[in-house]
Amino acid sequence: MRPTTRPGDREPSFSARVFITLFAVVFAGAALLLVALTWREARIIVRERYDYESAPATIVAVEIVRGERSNQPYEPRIVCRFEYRGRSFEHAAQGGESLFRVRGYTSFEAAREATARYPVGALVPVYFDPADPRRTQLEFTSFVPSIASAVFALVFSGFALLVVGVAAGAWRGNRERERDALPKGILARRAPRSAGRRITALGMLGGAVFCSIFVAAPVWILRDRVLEPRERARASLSWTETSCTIERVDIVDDGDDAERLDVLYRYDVAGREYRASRHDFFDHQRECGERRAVYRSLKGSVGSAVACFVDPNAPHEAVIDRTVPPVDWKEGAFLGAMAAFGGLVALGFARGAWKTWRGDAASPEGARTTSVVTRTAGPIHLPFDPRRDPSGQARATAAVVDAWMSDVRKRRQTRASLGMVGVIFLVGFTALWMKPVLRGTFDIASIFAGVTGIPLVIITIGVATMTWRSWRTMRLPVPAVKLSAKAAPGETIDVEWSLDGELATIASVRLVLEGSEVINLGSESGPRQTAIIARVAIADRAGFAGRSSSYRDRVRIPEDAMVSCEGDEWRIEWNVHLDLVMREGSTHRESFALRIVFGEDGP
Amino acid sequence: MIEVRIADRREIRPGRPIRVRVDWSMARAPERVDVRLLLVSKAGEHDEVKILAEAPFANVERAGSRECVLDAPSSPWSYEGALVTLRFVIEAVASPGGDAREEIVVSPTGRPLRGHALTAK
Repeated sequence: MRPTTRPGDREPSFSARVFITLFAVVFAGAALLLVALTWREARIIVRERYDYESAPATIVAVEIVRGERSNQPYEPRIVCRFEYRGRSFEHAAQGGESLFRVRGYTSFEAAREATARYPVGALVPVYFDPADPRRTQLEFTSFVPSIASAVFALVFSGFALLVVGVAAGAWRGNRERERDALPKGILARRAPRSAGRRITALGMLGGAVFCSIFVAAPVWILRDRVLEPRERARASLSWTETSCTIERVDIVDDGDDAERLDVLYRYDVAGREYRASRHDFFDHQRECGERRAVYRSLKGSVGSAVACFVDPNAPHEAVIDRTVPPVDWKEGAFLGAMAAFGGLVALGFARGAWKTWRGDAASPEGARTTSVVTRTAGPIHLPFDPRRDPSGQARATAAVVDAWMSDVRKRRQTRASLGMVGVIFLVGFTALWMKPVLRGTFDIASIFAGVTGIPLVIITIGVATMTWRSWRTMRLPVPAVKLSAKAAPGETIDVEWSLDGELATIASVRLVLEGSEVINLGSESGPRQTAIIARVAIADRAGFAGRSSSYRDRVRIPEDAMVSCEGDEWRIEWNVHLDLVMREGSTHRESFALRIVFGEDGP
Repeated sequence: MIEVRIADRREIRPGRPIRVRVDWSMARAPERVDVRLLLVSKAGEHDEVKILAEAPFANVERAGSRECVLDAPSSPWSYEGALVTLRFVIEAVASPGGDAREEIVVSPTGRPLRGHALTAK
């Protein structure tokens, strides 16, 4: 028979374990594939730069063809011819193929502009694999997408590692229970957590890697979309004012329901003509209506001269409107909240990995039901007084109690803080998602956003409610209970308990010893049922004040109490419940397991 | 025919030895005779049987009688609760041949403990 566990605790069933394992295998396989592909890509890039040779090539033909990608349909197709070791090679490639690494463009003009540096008849360098000159490049593959692929592979591998860690933890089950034991003589029996929630150290590390993307992505977006444009706009305040002629103004579809202002203007610097396409530094932040207004104001100026500003040190850099708009606090706060949320979760995983690796996996869930017990004779008082305990055993027990209290307090604070960050994140995300609805227009986009936004609103309300509850429990006094590791029916045991915190918030405390039957422990057995079969009141106290207080009560285990025992599908357990009745009316329960055993002198 | 008998009382205190006597008489000598102490639990719709102790007899005659001692567990005990029922059974199985069972009570009080639901959920 296995030892008793805390109420509601159970291990995943065999089928659940198999399902988790299959899930982990699929993710691990996908991660391995992704890593292999990224490795292959990295090798190609390195080979291009170090092993490829170059030769002059003649551009034979350039055309823009319509590809299959709906968001970037315009693909340049370039044909070039070159000679190597007396043999002539001619290659044509399109889109993302080997000759010309650039993929499609959103507009025909953009694609044509991109190919402008390859005019027909021009002699340009071409790079090829000397072992197989058919592998040819006009341009080296950019490192940037490969770095992005590598980061994605790393993050995905982290997630896969997390899933594998969960699966490994599910199979490991109770085998590690013994490792949770504390020093001899002092038995701190931590009721085991659900095996499904155990994750190996490696899995936790994977979780930290995975969650780090939720820090990196918002920080990168914040830098790229908020901070850097502002910095560049500020720098442009020292640029030289010049007269520019606007050649083209348009609004182009940038794919994914996004638009951008497409401006082209020319200007002269030191007798040389330049062309630029930047109107300002903040087009990506504009609402659709604002962009249209800018478009309308510029449209009338096509062919005429307007003032623009040119960087004297880099004349190809120019801008028409260098106004620095007010800080977009909404976007900044949203991204900041997202980064903070991701950071906290990643930190939690990293901390868990460290603790698990050190064999000190005292998770908040585990700590919740830690029952601090001792087999030593005589009472141990809280707060601990070493003069009463020359053997030092109580010192260890007191340390365990302190650690437990600290753990509970930290758990409450973490839960409340995470909840608050989560609420901020969810409110921001929901607001962004529901933006079409908030605009007040009645179209397909607003109907879609409205319908799909309902679950988000429900989740947000749910998280907010949970956070409010966590916030309230954060300030609750932390209770600790010490009782004998084992007790026999008919035996009278001491129950020492203490409270730590603002005790004036407590109206009364009830201590109850309860025996329960729990059935349907397996996941496929139907809903779990519990029947309370015995209840013995231990204490009911009121009139609390101060910061900490400790008490000692006694309870007699009923003569006819059934021993603690457990089968595959059932369990008979005993718990000492400590109910904190708060002044504002709510009640909070902490449960501590007690093992009732057969005593030789028993009934 | 196979018969199992408890040498003393059927009410056993937890942790105490149970003296079991098994008699059999078959048309053909069985390959073996096993005596087992079983815990039969019923939890809701779920039945569970666990072997707690076992005494195997090999090279047995067509008919014979053997005695063995099985230790009663210190826990759990015979129990009739609101959702869970625990019973102890001594089983003798002749392979091939037949089987016989005798129920015992493992309890410090001599009776199965009873658990009445104060509240259920």
